[in-house]
Order: sequence, then C-alpha cells, then structure tokens
Amino acid sequence: MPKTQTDPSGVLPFPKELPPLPDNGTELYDSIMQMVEPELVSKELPKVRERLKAEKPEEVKAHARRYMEAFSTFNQIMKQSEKAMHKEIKQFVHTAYASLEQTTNAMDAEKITQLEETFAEQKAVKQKTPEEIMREADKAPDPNIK
Amino acid sequence: MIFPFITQRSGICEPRMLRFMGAGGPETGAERSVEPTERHGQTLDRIDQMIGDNMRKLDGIDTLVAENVDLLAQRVEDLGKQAKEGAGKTVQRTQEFLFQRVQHASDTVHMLIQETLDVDREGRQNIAERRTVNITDPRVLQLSEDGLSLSKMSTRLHEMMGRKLDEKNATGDALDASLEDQEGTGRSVTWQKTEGGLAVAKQEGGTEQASQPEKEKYVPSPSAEKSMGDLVLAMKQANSEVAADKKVDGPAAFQALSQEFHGMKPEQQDAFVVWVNEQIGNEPYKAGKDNLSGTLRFDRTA
Repeated sequence: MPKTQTDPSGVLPFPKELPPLPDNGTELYDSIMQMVEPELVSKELPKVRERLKAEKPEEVKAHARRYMEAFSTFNQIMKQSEKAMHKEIKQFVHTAYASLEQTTNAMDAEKITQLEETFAEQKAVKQKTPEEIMREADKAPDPNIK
Repeated sequence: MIFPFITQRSGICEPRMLRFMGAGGPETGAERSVEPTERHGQTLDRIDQMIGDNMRKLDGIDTLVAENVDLLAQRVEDLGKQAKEGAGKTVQRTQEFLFQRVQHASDTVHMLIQETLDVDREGRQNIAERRTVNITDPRVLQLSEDGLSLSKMSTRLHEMMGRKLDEKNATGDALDASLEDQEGTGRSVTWQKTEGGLAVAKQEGGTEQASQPEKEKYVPSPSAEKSMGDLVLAMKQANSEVAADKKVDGPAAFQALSQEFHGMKPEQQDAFVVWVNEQIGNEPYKAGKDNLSGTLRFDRTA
C-alpha cells in the first residue's frame, strides 16, 4: 500500500515503490489457496490423485466435495482480490498525482509571485527630489517649446 | 491548479490540463475507470459452472469403481488448472492496468519538467537578456527524481509482463505468418501493421525487381480513427471553431492514442505521427514523438 500520509513538513511524498502486487498467477493462486485449502496449492496439486486413491471409498466423495467447495471459495476471494488490487492501483495513482499537483501548485504560486514583483517594479514611479526639481528649473528652456 | 483555468483560452500549459484531467484527483476525473471490466470474471464464472456440474455429478459416482476415483481426481486437477489460469489472467490484467497508469504518470512528469524549463527559458530571455538557461529550480530536480522512480517502476513492470508479452507476440507472429501463407502475400494488414518497407514490385514480364524503399505508412484501426476524430473535434471546440454542443472526451481520446502509440515499433511510431499530423490538418497543434521518453506528445503551434 503506497504511503498517503504527509510527512512532518506537510509535503505529500511521491510513491517510490509499486503497490505490492503478485508477480504472477501462480503466486496469486497459492496465496489465496493457502488460506482456503493447503492441499490444493500448486505444489500439492499433482498429489491429489494419489491422495484420493489412498482414501477409503466412503471418504473419497467427502474429500472431493471439500476440494470443490475450496475452489468455489477460491473463486469468490479471487473476484474480490482483483477489485482490491485495482483499488490499490487507484490509490497509488491518486497519491502520485496528488504529489505532482502539490509540486505544480507550489511552482505556479512562485511564478505568480515573481510576475507580481515584476509588475510592481515596472509600475513604481520614482519621485523626484527637491534638488532635481531645482536643477531642472535652472536649465535653459527647451527651444522646441513655444 | 491555477494554470488550466487561465490557459483554456490562452493555450499555455494545455498539455498539463490534458494530462491532469485524464488521471488527476477526483475533481479532475480520476475516478473514471479504465479497468478492463468487460472481461472481468469470465474465467472465474466458467470455474463456478464446472464446480456446479461436478457437485451435481458427485452424488451419482460410485467410488468403489477405481475408474471413477480417477475421474474425480482428473476433475479436481482440471479445476486447479483453470483456477491457476484465472489467477494468471487476473494478474496480467492488473499489471497491464498498472503499467498503463505508471506510463501516464511518467509522461505527465516529463511534460511538467518540459513546461517548467520552457517557462524558465522564456522568463530569462525576456527579463535577463538572454542568458544561458541553467536548471536551478529545485522542483525540477524533485520532478526528475519522481520521474526516475516511475521509470524504475515501469521497467520492473515491463520485466514482470515480459514473458507474457513474448508469448503473445509469438502467437501473433505465428498467426500473421499463417495468414500470409494463406493469402500468398508478403504482408498482412492488421490494426498495428504498417505498409511499406522494401517493396518487391512484380513486373509485367513476370520478373521481380526490388524497388526503392517506400516510406512507412500507418494503417489506422477503427478505434484509432475514432479516437483521432474525437481529439480533432476537441481541438476544434477548444479553438471555438465548432459549437461545443457535441460532448467529446478529448483526454480519453488522447490516452487511447498514446496507448496505441506505446505498443508500436519505432518505425511504426514515426508513421503513426505522420498520420496523426495529417488528421490534425490546419489545427494549431502538432503531434510528435518525444525522443527522450518515447511517448506521443502534442504541441500547440500557435
């Protein structure tokens, strides 16, 4: 499960690892079947025939029924499992984009501040000092002014 | 996000808007599912059916007959095989889904870095009299780090999916080869195939002569044509060239095209870009292949 909590600095961390998903079908099958019926995990499947043959005839049916029910339970878990994995992926993606959005928001804010500062500098009118005004008054009049 | 709302008219940062709309938070459409739900559970339903059949037949089986025990064992083994196959398909679908999302996020990071660099470059040119651009924005470094993480994840996923993809490709190649044998042609046209290459022109006199290599040409699939049509319409609506009364999902179309692009060979990608630009026509956009990330990108030209 990707981390979604913010760190102490308030920055949402970008997920550094993939959500924990099974590498392949066998791994997923075994992880579920281990909980449901350990005799049916992939390593044990080839031994099913020997097991049933070693049973007393009256026990075989019950054993086979147990296996069928195990597969039925497996199926139900499997359906939920895919949804759960997709939910994890969505959570992972959401965290990644939330972190990116936070970064871009900070960048946007910074750029806007810079722009505002630039505009403020351009708008600022420099006030003339009394000395400057007096100096301008002492100058000869501009010949172009009638 | 400030930019997307400003830029809808001005055109700046449109790629960012496009990407965040496709996969951002809930307010930007992240909950829109692209899961392959149509195939969801087909194998599992088949197993359920088999279990039901077996349960019904179980009572009628006489276990004193050794052959029947064999039959039962066979059915359990078959169910085990089917269940493993179901698990395999589930994992494959999940990995493909994740891979697609990671790729999309990776493209977004790349686009953000590019956007930041562009803004920095423009700013420096305008304000600081065209000095050499230097990447000093710490957030660009942060984004680069995020992008690197995604690349690593993508590589790992690719490795995980590699075996299955190889099997798929081998099956596809075998199928193409058999089709070619049946058709007696040197090529087949599928949605992803391109025409061209070193063509062998048959002369009237019956002799074959190698002609000049033709440029690859992309043959669009119906889905690609539809996505492209949607995207062009979205572009026109964005530029107020047509009324926005027809609802069109531009980001989804872009995503679909990106996905197709991603699965192509480099020469096919070039042909694809040419085709996309033909479809864009006079709209102020240009499609291109990002050589750094190997992704499809659209740039605004005006």
